[in-house]
Amino acid sequence: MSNTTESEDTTHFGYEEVPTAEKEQRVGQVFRSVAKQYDIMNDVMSLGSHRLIKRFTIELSALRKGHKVLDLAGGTGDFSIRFSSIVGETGQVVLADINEAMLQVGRDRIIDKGLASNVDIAQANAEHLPFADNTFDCICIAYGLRNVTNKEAALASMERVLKPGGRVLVLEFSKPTNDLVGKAYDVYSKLWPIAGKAITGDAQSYRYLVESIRMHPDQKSLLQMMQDAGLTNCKYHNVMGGVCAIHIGFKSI
Amino acid sequence: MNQFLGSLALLPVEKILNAIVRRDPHIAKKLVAFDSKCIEVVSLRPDFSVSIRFEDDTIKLSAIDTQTLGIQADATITGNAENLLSLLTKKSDQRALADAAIDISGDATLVKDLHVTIESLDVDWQDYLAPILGDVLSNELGEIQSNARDWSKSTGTSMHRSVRDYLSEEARLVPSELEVDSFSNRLDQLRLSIDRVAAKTELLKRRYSLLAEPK
Repeated sequence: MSNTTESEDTTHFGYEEVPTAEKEQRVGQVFRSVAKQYDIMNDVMSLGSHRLIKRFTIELSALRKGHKVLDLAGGTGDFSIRFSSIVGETGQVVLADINEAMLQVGRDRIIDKGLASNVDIAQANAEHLPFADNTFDCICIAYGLRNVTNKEAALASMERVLKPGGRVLVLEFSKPTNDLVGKAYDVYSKLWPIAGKAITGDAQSYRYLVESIRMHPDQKSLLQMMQDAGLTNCKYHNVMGGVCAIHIGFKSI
Repeated sequence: MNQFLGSLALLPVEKILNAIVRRDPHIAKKLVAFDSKCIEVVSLRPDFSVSIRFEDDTIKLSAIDTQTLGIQADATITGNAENLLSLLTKKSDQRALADAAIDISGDATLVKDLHVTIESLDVDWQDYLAPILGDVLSNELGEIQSNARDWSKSTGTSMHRSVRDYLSEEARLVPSELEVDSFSNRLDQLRLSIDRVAAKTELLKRRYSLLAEPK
């Protein structure tokens, strides 16, 4: 399944159909606008539950001391900070994001926490990862894949830089499995642009967030995309009735 | 069982256990022997599994199966939740691990050692609750816990005695301890008498056969 649809030159930006070349720039604008309040808004929108979901994702990463992990689209560095203590001094965390504003917030947080010794920062496009083949034990992309213009290219790039036996974790909003949960979630997510306006002064960016979630592939479609990218033993865990899903795939040995 | 919900449920348990280990060097010392070890507890009914890992003086609990975690469990305990819970309450000298309803695979000695260690832990809950609830409230709770323990112990003993007395003295459904002892003694005497009669009979048989033989 491709995220570029209908025409070869256009893709989705929320519900809007935009030229493919323009999406990256417009997503960049969204995240530049929300970067400084990103973590606060996460707490507001998820009512704090994103912390529990992230903890579960970290458990699924199965990281050990000495491992190399790529926190892709890692933005404000939430995952990198947690990964840093797990992999220890002998391991390495690479915090990568295409957006310089998000990365700046993440870099500042990491320096403030004194974790710079095993965390490297890289501005990188997920579709063309600037790392050697077979580099990482684990790649985690949390709430980032839906913003990538060419998801297939991003998954293939992740598979390339992953060590044989290594795992990719994709944490992303998904499709609720229960109608009642789905309806409640629809109503609740309509409040996000209002909260975004009140906290960051930017309703438009959060409108894009809601729309991009609706346009994101469901659990089974993303699973198929991961398999198509060459990942094996792919599976997913629904979280909170499918509001979010964590997909796991391994690089074959 | 949903692994996310399992993981959520285990979060406070893990936090409490690690708080206890951090505050009590005696417990931390005992757990050194289990460093880098992993025990997987698999419940068949209800269906869930918990992996217990000991890493760097911390206990890690996870509802994710060891295969997904990419680790090999040193030992696996399998059984129904009811049987698994009873493991925690049974004393190690009661052959708790020999329960047929529980299956242990892998390093059984590791499971036995952990069982003995858990049994030997003497956790002062009052000490752990004081920083959270304050000295006065935790002391009151400690008193309540102590009184409840004493009450349950004395009530248990009293109830056991009352039931025994009712069954043997009032309802006469079972014999009393004295009657059983007396019956056992008489039974022993009877067995000895029978043995003696059997020995005498044997002796007489041999004498008779000697007399009956033609000269």
